[in-house]
Amino acid sequence: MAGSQLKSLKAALAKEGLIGAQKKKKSSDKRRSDTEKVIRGIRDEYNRFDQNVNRTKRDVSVIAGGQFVKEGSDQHNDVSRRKGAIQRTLKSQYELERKQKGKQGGLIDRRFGEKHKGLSEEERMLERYRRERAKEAKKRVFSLESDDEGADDDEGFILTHAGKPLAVDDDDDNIPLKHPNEEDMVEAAPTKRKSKREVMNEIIAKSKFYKKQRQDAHAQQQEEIMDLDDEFEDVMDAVRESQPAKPQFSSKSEEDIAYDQRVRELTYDRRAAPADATETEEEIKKKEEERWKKLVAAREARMTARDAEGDDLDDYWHQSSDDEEGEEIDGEKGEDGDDEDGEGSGRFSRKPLAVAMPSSLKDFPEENVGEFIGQVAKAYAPHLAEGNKQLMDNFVALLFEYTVAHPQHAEVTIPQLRKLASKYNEELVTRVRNEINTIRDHLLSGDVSGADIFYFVAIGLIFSTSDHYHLVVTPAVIMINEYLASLTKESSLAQVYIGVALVDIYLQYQRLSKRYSPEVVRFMALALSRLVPEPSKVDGSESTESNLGAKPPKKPVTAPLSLSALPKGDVDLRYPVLLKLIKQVGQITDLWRDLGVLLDIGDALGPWVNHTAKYYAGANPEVASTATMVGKLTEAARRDRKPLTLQYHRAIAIPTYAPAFDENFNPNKHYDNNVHRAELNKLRHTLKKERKQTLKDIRQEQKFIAGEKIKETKQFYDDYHKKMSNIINSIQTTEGREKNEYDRERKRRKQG
Amino acid sequence: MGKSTAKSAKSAKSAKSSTPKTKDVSRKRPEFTPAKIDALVAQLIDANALNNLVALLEMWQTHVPSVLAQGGDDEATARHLVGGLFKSFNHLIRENRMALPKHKYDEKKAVAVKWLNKQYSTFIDNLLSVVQQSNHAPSLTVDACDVLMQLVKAETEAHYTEAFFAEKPLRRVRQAVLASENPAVVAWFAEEYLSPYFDLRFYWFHNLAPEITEAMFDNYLVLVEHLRELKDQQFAEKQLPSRVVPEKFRAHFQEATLAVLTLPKLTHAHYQRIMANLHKRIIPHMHQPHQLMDFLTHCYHQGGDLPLLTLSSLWELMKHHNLEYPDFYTKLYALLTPEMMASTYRPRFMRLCELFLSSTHLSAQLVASFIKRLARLTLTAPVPATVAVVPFVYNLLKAHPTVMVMIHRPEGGADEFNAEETNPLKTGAISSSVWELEALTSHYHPHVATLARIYSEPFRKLRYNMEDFYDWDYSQLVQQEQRKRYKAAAALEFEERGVFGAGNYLEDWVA
Repeated sequence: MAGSQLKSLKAALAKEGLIGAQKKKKSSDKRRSDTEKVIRGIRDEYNRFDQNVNRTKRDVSVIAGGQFVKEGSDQHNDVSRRKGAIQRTLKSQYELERKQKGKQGGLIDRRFGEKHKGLSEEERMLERYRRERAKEAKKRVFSLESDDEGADDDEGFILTHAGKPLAVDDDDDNIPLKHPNEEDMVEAAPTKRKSKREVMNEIIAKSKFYKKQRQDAHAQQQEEIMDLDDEFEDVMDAVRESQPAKPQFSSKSEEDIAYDQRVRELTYDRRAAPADATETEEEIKKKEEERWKKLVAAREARMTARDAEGDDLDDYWHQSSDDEEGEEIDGEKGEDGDDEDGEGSGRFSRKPLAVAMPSSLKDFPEENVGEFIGQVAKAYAPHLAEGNKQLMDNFVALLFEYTVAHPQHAEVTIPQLRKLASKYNEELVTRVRNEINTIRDHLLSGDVSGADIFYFVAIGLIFSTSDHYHLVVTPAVIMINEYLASLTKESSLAQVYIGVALVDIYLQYQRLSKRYSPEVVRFMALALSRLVPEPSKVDGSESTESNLGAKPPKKPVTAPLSLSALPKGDVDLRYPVLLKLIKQVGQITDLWRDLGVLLDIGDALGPWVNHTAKYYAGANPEVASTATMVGKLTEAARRDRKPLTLQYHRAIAIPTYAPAFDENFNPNKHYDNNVHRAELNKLRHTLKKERKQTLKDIRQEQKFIAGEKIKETKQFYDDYHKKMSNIINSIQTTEGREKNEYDRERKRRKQG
Repeated sequence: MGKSTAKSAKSAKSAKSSTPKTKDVSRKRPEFTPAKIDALVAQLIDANALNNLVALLEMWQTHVPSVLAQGGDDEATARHLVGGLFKSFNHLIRENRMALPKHKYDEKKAVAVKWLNKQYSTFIDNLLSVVQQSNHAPSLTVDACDVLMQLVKAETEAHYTEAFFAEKPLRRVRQAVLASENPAVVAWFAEEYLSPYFDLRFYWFHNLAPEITEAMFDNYLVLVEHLRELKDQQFAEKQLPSRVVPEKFRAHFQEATLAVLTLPKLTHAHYQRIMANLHKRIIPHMHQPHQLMDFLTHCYHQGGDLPLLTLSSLWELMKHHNLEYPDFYTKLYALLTPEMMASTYRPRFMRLCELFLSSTHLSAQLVASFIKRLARLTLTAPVPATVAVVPFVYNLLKAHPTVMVMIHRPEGGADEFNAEETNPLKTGAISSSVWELEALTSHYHPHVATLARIYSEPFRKLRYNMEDFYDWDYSQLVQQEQRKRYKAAAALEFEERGVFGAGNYLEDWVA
């Protein structure tokens, strides 16, 4: 190395491109840490004496800084130096902390549970009290001055053996105890204040004494009574002789006997329970209103609950994945109303009523069906006997069948059935659903009876038909519409009649939910075209052969529409059916007035109504009013019609992608186009790394502190032992010297 | 063989007429067992006992008619008899014992050959009658068909010329099959013989046209329905005689089919049947499909459901055979009627509509007209149709965003839709809105109502797979409902209402 040291340093720095004219701009992308490394290297080069190189005899590799390095090599030294530096830092920090420990102020709240959030105020207080007591008790264990008090204060705690306190040595119980006071009196000297223990013993002894006294008295009394009993007969004889003879039988009147009997019965009767507070009329009314409101709100919720069942919409229409296990429906949880009034009295009357459980429709009586049903429900209440539940399930299903078969009793059976349906819901629902196929066969084959139609009526009266989805109602509605859709221009009057009945039922079903049915509209137009006189004037159809009411009759025949007696041809029902149809047109225009398509419905059906009004307005003013109403509503709909604006929602961005053209693209690296997400991930990664590092540091520190503490303890004990041995040594030395002194002195005295 | 046709027909008649007599004979000869038949056949083949043929054929006349009439246990034995006779005649044909001698002087042999041929034609007649009339003994019929075809094959192979095909016996088989009373046999025959054997197919349709009658219609269509399509390449793969070429087969087939189509007394049901098969089963086999143009155009202009059925064939012709059809969309538009929505052919029509409207080059006016018309139809359509229309229109809107104004028009404007206009380009539907589809959100079927709400939601879904929606009907919908299980209590009505009478549930009704 020629030249001065400064020169060579400059040269070295220039060589690394750290000083002087920078030849290339490239150096700018050199990282800072790299520069530092280089400078450190140069510095090391010029401070040779600072480097201590450990020469080893053998070539040994150790793991330092996470890699294999040769012991004694520069790299190894570097690492060990760094480690040493860390150790030193830790040491100094530890020293500092130790020095400051206990010297820096601050208040530490040591009250129990002050920072514990899980404890309530009372628990905290209780626990504190308990601890305080325990502490005090602990304190007093070795308290010398008040050992008697301790025995007293520890809440009557005394050592016992076989239930007797060890302190009392009364081994012979048979000897009557002396009154403790006597003993006291004998010893009598009020020398000192009695200890608690003595007081207790005294009390026990006293109580035993009194007990013994009581027992003795009792025994004496018993003896006396026995004696008296023995003498009783003699006394009685004397009495009998002295008194006149009484009548042998009771002289009580019949009434009295009955009264007594009743009293005795009442003794065993159930105690009268306190009745609920009597409610005023207003309160009852208010309660009823609230209940009603609740029910209406629940119904409303079910009506609009579209997503309750519509989530699996795509699956529903996707038939190919027919999973046989079926779908489950979330229905409304049945309100377990307090319909117990039927069975309440049955609970303790215990007498089964004399009604037989009907096994078929024939077992129902002709008269008083309602009463009969009530009796059966009462007699076979499930809690009365095992198997009653099963019987009642069957009964409810049978009752539904009966209701459908006997519409004339419906007024009575339907309320009963509705009441029972809340309790035996599943069985009823299952039975009604099982019936679907039969009813459908009847409808499609044209072999429809009144019972088939009343099946739908019964469903409407029992179940909530306004629901968005209902296990029973939904298939029923589909079936009604299927029937309406199956009618054609060739259908008979009987079929139209059934159709009209079904439309009526459908309209009742939808009186709240107002759901639209295309089939109904189609059926209306079809039926009207079949029934009005001279239909060609409306739709221009040439053929009037298929028309059922070809000519307007002079005096229209009116007949009641009957559900059970379907038209067979003997009664001319064309006019009443037509009137009913017109009325229904009025109903549907009113029902669907809020739909955007009312205009189209009105345009399709209005002409028919107007046409009918021409012929029958005189005979029936209702036709004319319906025609006016339909016309008005249609015109209003025409006026109010606005173009649809269904897509009013936030504009949805179209996802676009632009290529990045990264020259250093690395297919193994993960790129994220989302800047936010990328940054977030980066931050998360850094956080993770730092946490790891911090934990590592903390562990290292703890380890160091633990090591230091051990060292300190060792030091402490070493010091102690040293001190002790010093003391002992010195004592021994002194003693030895004294002993020698003594020996010498004795010797001297002996001699002297 | 041809010479003996008339005679054999006569003998068949005489056989029938003499049935009561032969029954008396059967008492004398009770043996009608497989063992006996085997013995007779073995004797015939090994010991040249030709007279056994008489015994066998007599057996036939005694027992087979009753089997045919009633079926029964004897069917197995009858099948055995057919097999035995076939074995015998097959042996004779292969031994060349049935051909007339070349030299005239061999008279004795000629007499024997004539006699043999007579027996043979009796046998064939019997088989044909079995094929033609059997409804009770299907396996016997199938056996008879098999044997007949084996004999055709044997005759073909026994002939001295290479390119010979025994067409005459085949023709008789053809007549019998086409006149068969059992369509299952015809279907079986088409699948078993006509589909795999190309030469057979070739000769089968050769000169078939003049023989076609109304009675054969059903069987002919059954045959066509079960005829697998054949590619030219497949033809080439088989080593067939030079005469058998695909073009000629197609020409024969076309000739026969046109003969069927031009039968004078076809009913509506017949046409429906033809149309159902035309595009898939008939057009691919035809030599010049464009010959169907007039027929199809005519059908397309008919009323009823015939135009629906014609569509797919017309499409086939337009797509592959350069048929120009100017008013196609106008006609298609006219087909969208309430009747179509209720028709059983609705899924097929909707599928085709999807195909025809899938082009993105259609004008917005046209698409709007179709959408509006479909929407109008849902006002009175049955649920199964509504189910299909909702996603169908969604897909159309998605494919033609210009038509989105029909569901979203914030700036307003007059509705100029003219429902009476027949030209879909001039209806003005694009100025209208589809209130009808909006109304479906309150449809009584819960799933349709939910489905219809897609129009008021962002159009995120790319498109609906229409196959899920086409083929619904009411029974499936009811079944779908029935499949649902009871889970929680069904909600009950809480309003107390009377049943009959004014103000009650059924106001104008009595029990």
